Amino acid sequence: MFFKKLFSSKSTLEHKNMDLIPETRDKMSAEFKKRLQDSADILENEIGISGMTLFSIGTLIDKNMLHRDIIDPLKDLPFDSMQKIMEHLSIGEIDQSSSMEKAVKAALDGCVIIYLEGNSTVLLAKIPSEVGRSVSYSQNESLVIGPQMAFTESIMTNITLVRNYIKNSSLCIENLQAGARTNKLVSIVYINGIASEQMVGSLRKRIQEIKIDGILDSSMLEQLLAENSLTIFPQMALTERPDRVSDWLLKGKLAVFVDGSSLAIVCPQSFMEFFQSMEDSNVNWQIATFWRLLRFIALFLSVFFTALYVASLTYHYEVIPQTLLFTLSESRAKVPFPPIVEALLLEFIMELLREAGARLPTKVGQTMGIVGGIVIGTAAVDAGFTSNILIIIISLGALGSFVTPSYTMGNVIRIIRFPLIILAGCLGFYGMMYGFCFLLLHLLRQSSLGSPYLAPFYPPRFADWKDSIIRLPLSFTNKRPDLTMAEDEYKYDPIRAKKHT
Amino acid sequence: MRKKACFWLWTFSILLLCGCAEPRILEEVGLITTYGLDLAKNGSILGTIVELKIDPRAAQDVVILETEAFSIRGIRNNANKKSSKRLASGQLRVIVYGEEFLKQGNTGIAETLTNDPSVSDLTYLAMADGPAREILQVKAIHIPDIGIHLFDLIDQNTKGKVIPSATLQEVLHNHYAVGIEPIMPILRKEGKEGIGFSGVALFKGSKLVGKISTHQSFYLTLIIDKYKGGIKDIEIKSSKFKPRNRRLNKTVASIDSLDSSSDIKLINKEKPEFDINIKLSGRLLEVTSKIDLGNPESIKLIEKAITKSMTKEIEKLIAYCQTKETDIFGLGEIYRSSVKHSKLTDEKWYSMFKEAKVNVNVDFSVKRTGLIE
Repeated sequence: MFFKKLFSSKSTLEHKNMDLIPETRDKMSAEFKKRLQDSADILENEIGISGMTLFSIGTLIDKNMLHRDIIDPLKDLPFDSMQKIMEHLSIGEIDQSSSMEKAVKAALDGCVIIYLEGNSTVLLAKIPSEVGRSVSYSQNESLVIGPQMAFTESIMTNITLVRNYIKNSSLCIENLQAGARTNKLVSIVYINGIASEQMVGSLRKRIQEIKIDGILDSSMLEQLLAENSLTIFPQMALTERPDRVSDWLLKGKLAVFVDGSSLAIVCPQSFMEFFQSMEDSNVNWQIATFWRLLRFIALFLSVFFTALYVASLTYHYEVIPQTLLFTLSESRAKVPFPPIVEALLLEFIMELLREAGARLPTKVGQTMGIVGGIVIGTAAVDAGFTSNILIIIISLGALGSFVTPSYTMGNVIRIIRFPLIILAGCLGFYGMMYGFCFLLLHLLRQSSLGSPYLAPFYPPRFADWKDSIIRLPLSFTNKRPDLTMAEDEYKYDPIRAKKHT
Repeated sequence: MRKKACFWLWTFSILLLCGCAEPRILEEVGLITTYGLDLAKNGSILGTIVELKIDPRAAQDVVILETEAFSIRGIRNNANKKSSKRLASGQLRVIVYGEEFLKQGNTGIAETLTNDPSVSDLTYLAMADGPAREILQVKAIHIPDIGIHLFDLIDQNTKGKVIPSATLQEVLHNHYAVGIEPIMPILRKEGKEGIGFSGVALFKGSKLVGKISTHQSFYLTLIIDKYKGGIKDIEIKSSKFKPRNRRLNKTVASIDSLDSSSDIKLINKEKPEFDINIKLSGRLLEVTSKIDLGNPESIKLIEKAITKSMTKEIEKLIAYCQTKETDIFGLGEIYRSSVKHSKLTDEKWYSMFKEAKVNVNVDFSVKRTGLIE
């Protein structure tokens, strides 16, 4: 209800009259101050002899530029029209406006409002102060082979990075705004002629329809854009690598950048793609295939191994190999809890350690490793708290979840273990199968920007299997995946492609 | 909305089922690894159970329990009274039957065990030469666990084709199928501390009717199975070879890398007549007589002699089985599959098998003589 009121009041006629640039300098000054709640950082510089005044927000503009590029060239000259002022300014981004609303918004974006008494328009010269860091190494998705650059918090830098990879005139950048109060700049980036127009349209619509007061980061926007906000699985990829974004754009995907966020949203995204790394394309296909299979095995190990232990020890002692019987029983003999309690306890300790390690400063974090190693590794077994076979299983599961290249997906894998362990402890293999079927059905029902989540396995698109759980040589995969419904299906001419192979 | 409510109802009702699943936590279960079944005096069954009870503080993990009961399940229930952990047969590996127990026939070799879903179909069956309890009671320093020892012993020899395979599934299949009879290896106590194979027991239905030696069981395997890389010493009875050793008055050829394949064909449907063609090749390693192995002539001579002696042995084996009316080769199955509407029953086949004519053709060839030539 609140939003409706806010937006409907805007369109009234009364408001439109208010939107005009005031005629006198005093009125302008008062209006500007009123609109910005008489903020302490408002700057008002009167310069020259023709009654020219500069209005700006001091904390958002570059003061050196203000003096060098605006005040200096204008201060001694008489002006009577906006056109003449413009001729004397050497600023790249300059705009003219007759709306007060727009002028204030521009001021919030780092513009100086150049006001000349008697004119119904103002000049908006953009000289934003550069707050931020320079391009640095990718921390969360680091590669051994491949470029090391990562996005920064500045949307302009980020788009520059992508433009550097794709030097093509059909790279489209659409600017939108999101957040009723934060007015964040959101850019949709795609390659015209490759990306599906329908998808671009639906993504644009979704961003425009978001009704929230503030978006601070793209990870927040991702949650708002996803089709099913109740699922635990991420439906869009978040990446900090410009090469990754460029690679996906070339496949026909769309990227969304949010100003102030160092992560780009890429969609549509399939479940399989969360287990692919940029490095897969940078190494030989045999090695890449091996890595992908490894990650997939790790996924199953991580999700099912502990549950398998609990189920077979609680209900299905028949399936334990004879050679394992001795070691298993001997290590279990001292443990006072049933397997499910033992497993949940150890998984809980593991999660505690991980969470502590993630939140602590790096220097303290190192001691966490030692504490964890001693507590879990030896003391727990010596005290008869857990069996040492379970420790191997739990650490394998934890390792398996960290192998996943996507951090968001790694978190999911760690969490879905818990219900499976409980089901295994309650109903044995039957419970595990119940959990597995539930997960599978759930995954089948998900979609990412209208594309099936389990593509290319369901619905089966055999041509896309070449770059899914395995990766065949680049010359084999000249077709863009069906997932993106690309306008241009082929990366290069299929007839020439045959000659390549 | 209704759909969702239904879903949650299902989910929670499944969680409520948790109480219904009966947990059998590994360390709370006494694992039966071996059953020994003998005939007790008053007609009941004397069961010997090898229980694996793993306790790191105990000096020995194996407990042997003996009880008497009228049913196989009863044995377990009675044994439970003597055990500190609940006995469960999910890790059952070997069942050993006493000779007397099988001689009486009609015992239902293992049917009752298959009713238990936790008993594996791959459990090995064996017959003891004498009472089964004597085999299970063997105590030796090198055998810390008689159950696992027996399993490994049978497993290793079955996989190496030294004895024919007799798992619960195979024995039951052969028992119920018309035109093939079950077999089981025979275990014998050797001295005070040893256990070994002494032959193969032949059945007619569920009744023990005969035994063959391990030497003969090699020829049985030749017919019903395939060899891949076996080793065998074959006796040659021929005057053309002079023994190297004067005290040894026969010649023995040692063959390894033995590959064989067999093919059984019904050639006369009215009066059952079968052709058994066995193709066999191997590497001749050793001959215990003075002969030049480099000479192709003498190799041919050996091939011929071996073929002859093998044919003789196989014919002898078949004739023995025919007198016992037990078709362990599965000739009846071949007859049944080649003759339409034969309406074969066990009784009918017993008499037909006795009269059947079996032609044996062995084709033996020496691949090479040793590795270095």
